[in-house]
Amino acid sequence: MSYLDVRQISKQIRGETILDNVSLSCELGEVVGLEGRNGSGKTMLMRVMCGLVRPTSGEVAIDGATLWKDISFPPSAGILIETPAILNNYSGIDNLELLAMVKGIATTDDLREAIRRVGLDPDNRKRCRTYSLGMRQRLGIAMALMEKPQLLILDEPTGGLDDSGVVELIDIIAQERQRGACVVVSSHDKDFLDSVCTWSCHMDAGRLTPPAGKDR
Amino acid sequence: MMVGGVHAALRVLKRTLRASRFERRACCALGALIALGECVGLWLKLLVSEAARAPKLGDLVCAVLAGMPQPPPNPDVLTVIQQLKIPFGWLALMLVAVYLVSAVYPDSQELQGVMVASGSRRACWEGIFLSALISVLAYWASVAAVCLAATLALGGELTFETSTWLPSLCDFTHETLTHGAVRSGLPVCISTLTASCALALAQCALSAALDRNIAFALLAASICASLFAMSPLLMGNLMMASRSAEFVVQGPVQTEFGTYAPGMQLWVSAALSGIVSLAAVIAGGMIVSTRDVLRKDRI
Repeated sequence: MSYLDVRQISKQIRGETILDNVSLSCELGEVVGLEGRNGSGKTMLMRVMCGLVRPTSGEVAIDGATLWKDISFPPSAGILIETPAILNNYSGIDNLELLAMVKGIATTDDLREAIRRVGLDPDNRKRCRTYSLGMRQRLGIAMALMEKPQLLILDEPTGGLDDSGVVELIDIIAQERQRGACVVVSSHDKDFLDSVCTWSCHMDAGRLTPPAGKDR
Repeated sequence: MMVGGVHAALRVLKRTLRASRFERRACCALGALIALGECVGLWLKLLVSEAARAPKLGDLVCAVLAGMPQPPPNPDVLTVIQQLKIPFGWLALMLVAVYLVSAVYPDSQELQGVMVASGSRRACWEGIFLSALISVLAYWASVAAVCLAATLALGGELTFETSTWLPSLCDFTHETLTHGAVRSGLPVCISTLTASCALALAQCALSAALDRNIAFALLAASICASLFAMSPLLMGNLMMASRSAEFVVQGPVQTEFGTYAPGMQLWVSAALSGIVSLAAVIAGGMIVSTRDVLRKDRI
């Protein structure tokens, strides 16, 4: 059994099919890419994977435990979906501290290291309201990384990043893979996915087309 | 499992309180400022009335929570016997409390992050509604602290009993409706506190069901509406000293302008607040437990 097991997921909203019988699996130490144009269902699939959206049919199992049945959310997950939830009145490190309080497993050193890894300064006390789009995206990636999660879900992580940011992100994903995390990353940029993923699949109109040899 | 849930709820509580600390402090300071303004207002009225009487704690508390007297049953009479005087101090005090809950409740994106990190929808809900409750209690504590300080500064007695001059000086209501004897401000305080806590929980449940901005608008509208209608279902009525059974006589009062409703009794306030609180906690828990982030596709 794979660490992340998506089994025949369908999602319909008011008669419209958003996800159509999608199956996918990802092992620890693997990076799976989801490629597809806007509106193809990548973000919806990621929301289903992390328990934020309940599928109309099918199920998602994380390490053998089924979402919405055995567990509410993945027990060890770092998530960046759409825009990161950043509190504008706080500095970057404060934002990380606030989120880390909920689980209580990340140390101050972990938080500082996560900020450094994404190219931000942990000692920068500026409030996040002054952050650029790219800095906010970097902070969102740091939030996903800070607890060294087993499951890392990154939805369009290159959004807002400059070229050096994309290069740093490619390094980070490679490091996470080496650490043994199960990484799912979506992008419309095929070149980016080719540079970071163990394998990637194409999504179109809610249907997933896995590469040859990877279909379940 | 149970202990893990409690720990998760406490961590969410701590995080939510810390994340909203700027807004919470600002609201408490604003509440204290409004209460101070009301206390100064009462002191000035006392000076004008040319009687050197130090207000008791109960006088100041009831002046701060005075609200607006019951409007006449027939709206045509309003301009004849009673001008429409909006109690801006009371209204601001209530609206800041509603805003405070709105500020404490995490926005949609933030809530998703907290839910996933906590690993439990139930723990997340418990942490959030507890933080709203604690924030509201802190807000009223800051208002109470100002009343206490003002009593001490003006040399008044530290008792919840009110003076006989209070209803007329604060324009509580018509002479025919008020008790003449010394009354206690304690039921007014308890009623306000319980109703405010119940409204905070209802606001959290509405925020979970709809959106925190819509919940704020609904609660604010209900508070404003309570100024113009005497019904316990509009819970703003339960937070006005001028509509409390302590100051308005029991039983409906027939006048030439129509029938006035009796004052709000403490047990009504406590029972209603209890029902609203329980319903809000259960309903909010159910909503969050089955929450699908796609608002229009909730389970």
